[in-house]
Amino acid sequence: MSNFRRDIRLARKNVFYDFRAFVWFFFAMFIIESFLSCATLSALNGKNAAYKSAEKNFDYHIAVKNANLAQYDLLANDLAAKYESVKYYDVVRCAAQDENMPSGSRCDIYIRFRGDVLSSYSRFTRSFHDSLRQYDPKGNWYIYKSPLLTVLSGGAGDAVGGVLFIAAASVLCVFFLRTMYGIRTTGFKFSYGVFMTCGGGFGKIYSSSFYEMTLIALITFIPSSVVSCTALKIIYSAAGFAFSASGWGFIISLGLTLIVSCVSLYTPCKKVSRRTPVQNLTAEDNSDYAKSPRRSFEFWRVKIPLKYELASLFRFRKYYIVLVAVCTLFASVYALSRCVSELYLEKIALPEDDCVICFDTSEPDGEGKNEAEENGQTVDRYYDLEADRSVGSIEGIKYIHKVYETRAGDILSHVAVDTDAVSGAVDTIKTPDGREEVFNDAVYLPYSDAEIAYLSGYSYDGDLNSAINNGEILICDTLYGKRSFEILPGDTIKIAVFDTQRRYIDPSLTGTDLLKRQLKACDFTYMEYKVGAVIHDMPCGGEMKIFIPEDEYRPLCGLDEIEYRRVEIGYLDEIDSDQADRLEARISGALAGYGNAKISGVHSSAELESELSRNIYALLRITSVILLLAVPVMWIFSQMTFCYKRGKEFSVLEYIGLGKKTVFKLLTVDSLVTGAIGAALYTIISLAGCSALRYLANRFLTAGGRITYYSAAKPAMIFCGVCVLMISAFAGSAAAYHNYKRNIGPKDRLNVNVEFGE
Amino acid sequence: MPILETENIIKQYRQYDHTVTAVDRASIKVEAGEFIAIIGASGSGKSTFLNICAGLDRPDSGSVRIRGNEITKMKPDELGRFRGTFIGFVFQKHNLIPQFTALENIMLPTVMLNKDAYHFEEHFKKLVKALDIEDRLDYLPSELSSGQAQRVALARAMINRPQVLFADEPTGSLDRANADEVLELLLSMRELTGQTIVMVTHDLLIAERADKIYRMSDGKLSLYKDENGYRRNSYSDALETAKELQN
Repeated sequence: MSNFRRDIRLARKNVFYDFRAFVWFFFAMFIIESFLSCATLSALNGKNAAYKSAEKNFDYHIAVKNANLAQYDLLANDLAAKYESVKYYDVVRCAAQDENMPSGSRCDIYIRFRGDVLSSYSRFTRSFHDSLRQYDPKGNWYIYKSPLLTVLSGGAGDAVGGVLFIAAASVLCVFFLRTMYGIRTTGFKFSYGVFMTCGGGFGKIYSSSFYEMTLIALITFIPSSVVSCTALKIIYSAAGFAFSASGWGFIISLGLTLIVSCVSLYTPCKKVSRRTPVQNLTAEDNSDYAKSPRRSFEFWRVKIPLKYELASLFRFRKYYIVLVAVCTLFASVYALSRCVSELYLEKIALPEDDCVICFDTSEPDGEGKNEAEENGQTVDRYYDLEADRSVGSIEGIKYIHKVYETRAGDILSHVAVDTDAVSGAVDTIKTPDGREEVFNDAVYLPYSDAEIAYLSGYSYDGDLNSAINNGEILICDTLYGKRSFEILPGDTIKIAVFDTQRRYIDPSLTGTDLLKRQLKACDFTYMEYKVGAVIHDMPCGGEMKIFIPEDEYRPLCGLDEIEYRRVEIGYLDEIDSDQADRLEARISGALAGYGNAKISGVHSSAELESELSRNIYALLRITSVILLLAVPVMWIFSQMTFCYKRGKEFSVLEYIGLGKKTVFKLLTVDSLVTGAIGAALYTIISLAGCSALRYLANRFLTAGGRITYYSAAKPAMIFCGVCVLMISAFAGSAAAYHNYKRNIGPKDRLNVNVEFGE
Repeated sequence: MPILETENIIKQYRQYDHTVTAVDRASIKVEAGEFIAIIGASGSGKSTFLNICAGLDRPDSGSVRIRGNEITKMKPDELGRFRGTFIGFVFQKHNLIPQFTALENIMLPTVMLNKDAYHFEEHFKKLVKALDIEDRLDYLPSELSSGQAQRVALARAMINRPQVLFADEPTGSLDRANADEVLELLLSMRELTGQTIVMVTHDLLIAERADKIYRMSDGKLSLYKDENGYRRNSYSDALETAKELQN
């Protein structure tokens, strides 16, 4: 215990005696703690906030949709619902699907669980699922989980996300602190040399360093907690979420800070302890560079600073490379975090579907269907014209998007466009006359009049209404979010319809090889279509989307009927959660005869999702700014430490006639060059990184082909990073010069050890 | 068994594009309780040799044995513990840690070895009394005179009761009076504890007080005066050494 007290005292003395040298560690620790607190508190608060937000719109955990009276009786009169002593759920309400429907035919039963919601839900499923099915074996009843339940049950995914975010934050913090402490152990190695002479080894150096950082972490803990709490409170309030700072969050973030310190100090301390005590005690003397005829430069000429300092930059290239690389890395992480936040913003801005209807893929049975209909039973059917009319007549619906697609390659078809029309990276084959390009990376989609509202949600050229009225085709000109075709409204494209096969086609062929073979082995009829409108921002992956009127789509794809298995419905913007619930009930009622239709109301959960995304967006922005703050801290601290070591060299120059201002010029040259290199690297990395992120997002995160991301590195963001790098570089040199100027005169200075602490 | 034994120590440095041999096949044997002085001109390699003997630096080749332990083969942490336990070192400049008081500087070796301070209480009291720094224990190094700082450094080197004390020109930065005082202290402490002293010095008057004197020239170590006072050098050699030391 007394040893521990002595170690703590040793750390306290180290920190506070040379406070000017340690003040940068206070800043660094403040940044690290704020960053980790934001990550931890946000991860812990995320689920709580989402639950509280969901509670505003939902008073139930599940809804048994489209239930019949027998099912209602089962749930409402069960012991578990009736007797207070065994109650684990309440029937919140029971709503008839449609006010026009005869009372008691079908209804939605809203249930809220008591106690541990997840275990109550699991008990409910075990107890009732089979019985409910027994009461209505063919009915299209189903259990809808409200976001209130999904928020709770989605914990594993959220927890993994939170842990990953915290882990990434911790890795960055380790890198930051490791670099800072590495600079310190190089600049302040004298004390370590004395420790080692007196019998200290790695253990002692490491423990004293750890206690130093722990002391600083404890001092900066309260300010950083206040700052991170305030920032999160603002973020959550703006998104309409509740925020409560969990005590565990603070403890975890402090624990993480100590773990970060523990990990980051290991390498610098190991490096110091591997040197001999003499190497640590002996200060590096750069003054011989100034006076050695082999290494001196023309410093009597006018261009002393530029020439001399450029040579100095080369002499100390290893140090400057590390400094610029680390600072550029942090600035780039800032830019990439901003870019990811912009991607989130695009996701938030995307209009979400409010209701999705999925039809079971089992084949509708013609005879059985008629028989069942006659008996008044529900049957398996696809989304047909009748359903379209029923659903389309419901007020409050903005659009109905029927999802169906056929790949060109699957029906031995391909597309031919003018050679000039291809501008992106598409695998094409030139026709023998060289005027057209042929490709089969295309998807054909049917459309009807009802799709205008859906399609008009995207940006497009041309007149969508007249295109649809005239039965013209619509195309998307982007692939992976990048414009790849130069096709304008009014242009024509040809679509090949397979006629006959004359020769054998190897089934293992794919892509353009397959197309080449098809062109040789098959006969095609080319149908010429006029392009009515060109849609720009619809996500297309690597295949061109071509919307074809339903009437022409069927013969083109060889279909008698288009079997829509998925329908996406959007509500009018003014529809609130209650109205959305009623609309959903009406849609459910309209499709009551479709036994295989599963209706999922996603209106409120989409809103919740959007709020969560907004929260992540804000969190990314705040953490990116915190990361950017690391750049000036590191640069200034590093320059001050390094230039202190160069003090003797500057003193030699000053002694032979150079003024202090010239020393300042030397350092200014230094800052301008290194800052400019850092800024250039940052710009390149940010531009390339943002493009790569956009490409990856468009490739893998299109939410089933619904989103196209367009975020690129914004000029303001690049400018901000460049400014921070340049200002940090200049401030580093200015601080180093200020430090030098404040010290004793050159004559005295030449006689002292240039090491810190002497 | 000699307490310190070195064999063919070689240490070279790279300076720009050529190699400088600081220590060239230096061998020495020191018996327990002996006082050895190493003299030589600046840059002759005597400090480098002393650092190697004390385990503060590594030789390129050769071996150093202290109490029969081969220290050149020890791992850094093991060597650190060995240094803290058996070796004391006094630098030409005091090398006190500026943020610690005299007391804390003196007790630093005990902190480094995680030893409880009360084990050293008696010894500490004797030391500070003998070195006459009792009233300066709460002072920072910047508040001490060079003589006082050097005495604190001496106390720090001796607090762990080391068996061998290495001193690299401990009087080099002191005036005559202070230098004599420090030397007297060293010798009285030796009387007190019976430890071995290996000292590098420029000062022939101080060297004369040693049991043996070795001379270092261009990295080569040779016996200059043995325990019987017999100078093994020719008159011209002696003259040359005196001139070197004066320079």
